[in-house]
Amino acid sequence: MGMLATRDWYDLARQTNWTPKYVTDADFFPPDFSDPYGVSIDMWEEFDEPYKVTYRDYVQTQREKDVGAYSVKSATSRSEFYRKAEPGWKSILQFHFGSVPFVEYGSISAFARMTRFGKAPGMRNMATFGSLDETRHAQIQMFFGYEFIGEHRAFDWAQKAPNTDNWVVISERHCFDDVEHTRDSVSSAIMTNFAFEQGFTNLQFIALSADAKKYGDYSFSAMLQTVQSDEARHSQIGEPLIEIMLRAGRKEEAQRLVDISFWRVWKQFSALSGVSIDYYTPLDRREHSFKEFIDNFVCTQFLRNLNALGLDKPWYWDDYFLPDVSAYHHAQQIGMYLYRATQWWDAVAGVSPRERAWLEEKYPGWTDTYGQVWDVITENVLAGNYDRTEPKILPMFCNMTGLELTGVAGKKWDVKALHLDIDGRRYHFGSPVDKWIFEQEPDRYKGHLSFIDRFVAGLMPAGPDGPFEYMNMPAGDRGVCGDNYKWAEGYRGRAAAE
Amino acid sequence: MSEQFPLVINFQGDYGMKLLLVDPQATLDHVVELAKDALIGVVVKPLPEGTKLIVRRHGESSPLDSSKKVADFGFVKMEALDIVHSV
Repeated sequence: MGMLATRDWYDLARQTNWTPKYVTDADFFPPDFSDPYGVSIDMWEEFDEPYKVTYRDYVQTQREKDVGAYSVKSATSRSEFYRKAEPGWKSILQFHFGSVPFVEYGSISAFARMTRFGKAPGMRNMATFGSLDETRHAQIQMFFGYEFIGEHRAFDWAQKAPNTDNWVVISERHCFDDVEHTRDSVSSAIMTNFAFEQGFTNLQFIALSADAKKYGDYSFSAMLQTVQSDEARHSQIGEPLIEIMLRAGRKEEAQRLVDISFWRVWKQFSALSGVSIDYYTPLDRREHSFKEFIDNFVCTQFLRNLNALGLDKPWYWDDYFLPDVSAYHHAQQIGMYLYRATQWWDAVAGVSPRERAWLEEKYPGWTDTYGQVWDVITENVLAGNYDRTEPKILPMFCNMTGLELTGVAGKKWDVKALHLDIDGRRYHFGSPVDKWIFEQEPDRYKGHLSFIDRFVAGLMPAGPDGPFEYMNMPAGDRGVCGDNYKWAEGYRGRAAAE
Repeated sequence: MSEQFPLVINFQGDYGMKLLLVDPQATLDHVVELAKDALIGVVVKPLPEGTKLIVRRHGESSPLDSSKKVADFGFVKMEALDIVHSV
């Protein structure tokens, strides 16, 4: 019996809308969950996703991908690889596997809500596959990470992280709960699929994959690439959505959603991918600097997609985003190293003499700014004053990012905060953009307590170990210097000569 | 914790702001000493000989009278203060 070609039945088969007879449209698709923008059903039914797939094809393709990724893992001797890996590479793996899997897992439900509450049949169809994709992503990254659980306790955080109130996890949850989990399906899809997935996932899953391949970590590289292949498909849910919003006269709303999400997710990826690429990746294996990857994936590709859709560059692009690309992750890295005990992964400094030269080359002015802080840390390490490489006072956090409130250090010192006073409480923000986001919906954000707010409010156990107990981090769970301070040895001869 | 007053410190040269819990009856001079003790030689290089530090509400230009007590200024909790070199 002849089979119809997919193209002959696909469009018809996915037209799954009907006119409800027993409930109202508002009951069927409550605006707060579905579409608060009042776009007509006729327009929703014009949703046309660029990449179409049938369930049969999906299962076959995904199975082939899994065979590919899991077989690479089996073929390489992973425990031996890990034991021989450089400290910076270990830091990357520990950081990634603790911070990413639970976000993937959370996305399963985000797509499921799009499946239920999306008014566009094509969107519901794609979001169903999106849920399956994210299930796969959570599973594969937990499975790959758990291989190392016998090597280092940090890999337990692939499962443990979301069950703690570690400050990194609080920051991540706040961002991704805002972008993915607490809005209607239209807003979530624009924020998640377009701004988050299309904007930034390439950094952690393609750029880092290139470094991984160069390093010889073929298993990690294959895992990252196979995850991103799914991302390329389901992240395209956002584009036809934005096209419909613009046709419906909702450009301003779509723009605001992109502007909010892009910045929020930028901060997360700057800390995660920026530090991984510019400090943790062994120097000789760096494909590009973080800034160079941003220039390609974000400033070129993403901006082109944005403009092609008819949206504008976010208002803060030139004055705040571009300067941040050369600054934010450098400051965050200092904090991540100094406060390493509060993190589950072992942090490396990434500032040996050769690495510093590279940083100065890629980020002119680094020596006179962030380098000034590292000079102090280096001196302490050379003198054996390791306790002075861990500050006795806590950093201040931005009330939007949940990360350290940082700026430019050293000779060009420029650290600024903005604040809002609401109901007798002062909120601090590391940039005008963070404050602007807060001001879009103060009621959404004002109830959240950052890690530092909780400390000040006395919500943590008393004593010097109180914050660690709060984060469920016994002594053995706390990060240390990943190479036991060897990074500073290259300065010892110089110090003596001077 | 209830006896301590939370301030946010922005120390010249540091890479970011810090939380400092202080006795509200302490002077701003004492706050400066606490900040110096916590940050100089940890994140900030030793100050040049003869450097005088002044304290300002973050974002303002006028120095505060550092001989006065924290409680006398009417700071809100988590008030941000700049500690900078006097020029």
